[in-house]
Amino acid sequence: MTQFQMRELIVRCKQGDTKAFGTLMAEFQPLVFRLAFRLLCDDNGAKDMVQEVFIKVWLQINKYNLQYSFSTWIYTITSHLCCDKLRRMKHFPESFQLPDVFSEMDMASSENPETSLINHELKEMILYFTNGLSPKQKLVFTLSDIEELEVDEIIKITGLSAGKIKSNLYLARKQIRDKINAINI
Amino acid sequence: MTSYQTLTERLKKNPVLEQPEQLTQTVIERIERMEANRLKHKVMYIAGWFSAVAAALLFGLLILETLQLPENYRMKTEKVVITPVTFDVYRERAAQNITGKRNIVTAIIKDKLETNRRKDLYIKLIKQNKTL
Repeated sequence: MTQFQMRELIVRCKQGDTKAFGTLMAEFQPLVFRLAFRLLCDDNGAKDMVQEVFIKVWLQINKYNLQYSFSTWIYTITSHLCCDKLRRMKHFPESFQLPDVFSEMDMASSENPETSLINHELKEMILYFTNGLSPKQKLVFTLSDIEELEVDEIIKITGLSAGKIKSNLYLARKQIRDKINAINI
Repeated sequence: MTSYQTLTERLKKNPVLEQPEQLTQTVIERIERMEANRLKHKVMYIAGWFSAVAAALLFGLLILETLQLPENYRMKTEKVVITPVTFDVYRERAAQNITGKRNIVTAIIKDKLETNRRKDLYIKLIKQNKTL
């Protein structure tokens, strides 16, 4: 999709066109799902997050400034909502934990077992390596080393200063490296 | 041997989103429902605003009636019934008027008498001058 087409879609969304919003959503849905999945490490949680993010986008589309990148705006909303959820999960873990039987049932009920296996492996790997990280460290690591975004964009998304991003990234990388070393030994 | 580089490369593998169209459809349906509710809420909000204005006007009228009508009634009754207090006031005013008028009349009489006295004196003097 070109920049011009996207602008046109956003303008139509601002006028209340839900069809245009559907097209826009189809374009950015994978981005939101990817980031939410990597931060929450949960397939269903990421899907719920996609819904939550796009509803927020719809409600706040009039506040969006066309001068800025739409993907950065989407990244910002997603990361804020995910960090909020991660903090809530940290404070009230019992309300977010699902029994293992349930997740296995979910896997079995999935239409494509291959995709659910890919997601499951990825989830296990992310969970293992990023388990001890704080929501901020996890977010900075994901945006910088996995999503490969520039520092300027990460500053815009997270609202953190360059120094804080650097320190969070350093701590996250150190912790992950320690875990890798533990495996290698 | 796993290195940091290989790990991040493996983590870069994208998770698969099953049935994205269905998810889009669900969101669109939720948005449309939300918009319908928002319209309903807007109508309710406008109606509520009008009722509030009407209630405020009625309340104002009630206060006006409570405070202003007894005042008019009191004024009307004051003209008809003369209480001992008001009677004293009227009598005092009347007395003041009478003394004032008396003072003026005595002053006028005194002034006339004085002019007559001076007139007589001038005439006497003129007569005396003529005889000399």
